[in-house]
Amino acid sequence: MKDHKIVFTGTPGAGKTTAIAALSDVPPVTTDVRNSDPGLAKEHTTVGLDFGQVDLGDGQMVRLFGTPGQMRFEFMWRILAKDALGLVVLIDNSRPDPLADLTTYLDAYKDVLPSMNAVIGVGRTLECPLPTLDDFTDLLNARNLVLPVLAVDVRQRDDVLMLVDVVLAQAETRTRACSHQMSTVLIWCEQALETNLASTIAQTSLATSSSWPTR
Amino acid sequence: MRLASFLSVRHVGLPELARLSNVTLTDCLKFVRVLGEAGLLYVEPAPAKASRSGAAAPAMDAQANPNPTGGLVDRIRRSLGMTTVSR
Repeated sequence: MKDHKIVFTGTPGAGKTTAIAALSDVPPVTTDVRNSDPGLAKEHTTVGLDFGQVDLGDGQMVRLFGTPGQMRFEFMWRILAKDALGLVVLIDNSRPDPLADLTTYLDAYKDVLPSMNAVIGVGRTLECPLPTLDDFTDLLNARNLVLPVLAVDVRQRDDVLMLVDVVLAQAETRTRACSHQMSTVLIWCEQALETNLASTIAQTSLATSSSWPTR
Repeated sequence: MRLASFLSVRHVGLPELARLSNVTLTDCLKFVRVLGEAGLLYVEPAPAKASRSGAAAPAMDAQANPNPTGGLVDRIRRSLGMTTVSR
């Protein structure tokens, strides 16, 4: 039986440990120590990794890994992400330069991100509304990445589930060999928006079609 | 582009799309209309009952899902207490 893993990465204090604790079936294994970084407003911080798991009930497990946030542990980030089902990047919007933080992670994962299921979760957006989610999206677009960006509060389990759900949806889409078509769709979206098509469709739910027009 | 980044094989209702993207319902509707006009969406009426993570996500028997990885994803969703299932 193959186990699967979902990796949570991101800045120190962004809530990786909290997110894993919200999902794990078992008390998560953490390697937190007393924080000695005066720039980090919390008592404990993770120096190794966090670990939790979700039992799928058929002998398979989903392992949840949280990377240590500090740059000096960068070597672990990619090791943990290898063969992961998904990557959740958590950004703390109350830090001095959240866009630079995201850039750090985009750089660290630049080789795998284009082919990886990934989502960006931005925390503390109510207290710190800037940069906006659009700013994060612009940064991603500048690097030819199209990744969902969500405002989250990882203390809320539903928000963590939302992140995982988005990653899982990407996994399904990718598995169904739609990645090429998705790219096409996004191009078509831009064109459609430019032409400003306007009329009403009465239906209330949507999903991307499995028979996208191809170019 | 931010709205487009949420497109996937999973059904998403307008309220959920608005919640996920933090974009107003009006703009989401505009986005959907544009995609619909261009024939880029599979659209169907929302089911009567709403799921936890999506007001318009139709339930589907995972056993009927012919995609093995889709089955895995569905099992993960169920294990985590999500009721949303893709197709």
